[in-house]
Amino acid sequence: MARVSVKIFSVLCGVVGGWASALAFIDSVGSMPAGAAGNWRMWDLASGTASNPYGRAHFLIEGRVPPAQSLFQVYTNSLDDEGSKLSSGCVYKIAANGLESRWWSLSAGPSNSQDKEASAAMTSDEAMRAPDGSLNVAMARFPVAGNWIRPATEGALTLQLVVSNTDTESDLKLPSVQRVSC
Amino acid sequence: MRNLYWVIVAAVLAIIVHISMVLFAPGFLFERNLNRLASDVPDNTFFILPASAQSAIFPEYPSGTVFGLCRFNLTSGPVTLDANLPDGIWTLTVYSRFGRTLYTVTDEQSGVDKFSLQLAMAPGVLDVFSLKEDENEIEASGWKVLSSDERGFALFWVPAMDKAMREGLSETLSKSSCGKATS
Repeated sequence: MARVSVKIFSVLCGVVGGWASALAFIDSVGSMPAGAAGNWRMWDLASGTASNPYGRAHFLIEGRVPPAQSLFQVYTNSLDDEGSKLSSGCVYKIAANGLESRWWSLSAGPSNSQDKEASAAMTSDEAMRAPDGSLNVAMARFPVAGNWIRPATEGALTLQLVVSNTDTESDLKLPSVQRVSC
Repeated sequence: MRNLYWVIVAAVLAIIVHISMVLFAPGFLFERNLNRLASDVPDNTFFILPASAQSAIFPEYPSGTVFGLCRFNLTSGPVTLDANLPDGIWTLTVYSRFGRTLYTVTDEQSGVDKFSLQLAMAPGVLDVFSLKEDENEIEASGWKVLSSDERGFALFWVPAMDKAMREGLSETLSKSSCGKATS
């Protein structure tokens, strides 16, 4: 009986260990810290011999199409600037200076296609900038004047910034994420 | 000694599950999702992705964005993609069926909004040695993507400034076509 238990335990350990380590590696090895400040992570979606299977798996495992890295850079952030997890119960101010790419999209996930009222994504075409060129976006479940994204789900949130590649990509300053209220 | 054997079994099993989860499962899950979204569209047919399906695989893009897709199958020969794109920003990305990027081009790189792209199977190792000179010339003279995977999809992305523009952009993009190449 004890011998059978050891066999079952070993198989379970192998399956659960492999599964859990894959999920952990997809998040940690597939992306790397981006920018000097904040908690943004950049996803490694290079193709060819430099491709990172963990970065690609992050998108594919959710049934999403991974953007080509030669066209777009993808950044995600699930923490505010003070290191607290982003939550749908709070209001956040996302402020950017120098987000001058030809096209960008800022979205709050996870998505929920059932919530028809959600406007969880904003692009460079829609955003209104201040006269000095700075950009402020509010993330809240209720309407906020100005640039506003409304998360589609309750609970923990992840911000995603997709930026088209331009000649000035090295100058990209990622937005700050400040909690306003909860 | 017997316990050590089962520890090694657990470690080997963990490595197999880990590799499967990272290399194989994501591609199959993605392909299944794509099949579900476009189950009624035959291979080598160009179509505009409906807004409802779009939010499932492109949640980070607003609903005004237009995506055009051609799921190609190269088993019966090369496929030609005739693109008709609106004036403005667009990208074209060719993926293998498991989501690997094979080719990309943008409006800035191409300089034209109408073009043809041929998709063909990459030659095998033995085929490389048996290629005739003129076949190489054909490859060098046109827009051609060689895929090692016989199935995949070409994806057009056209952003819209607001939702009202989606219909017009879709109309222009829907003039694109995808079909078996005529020799």
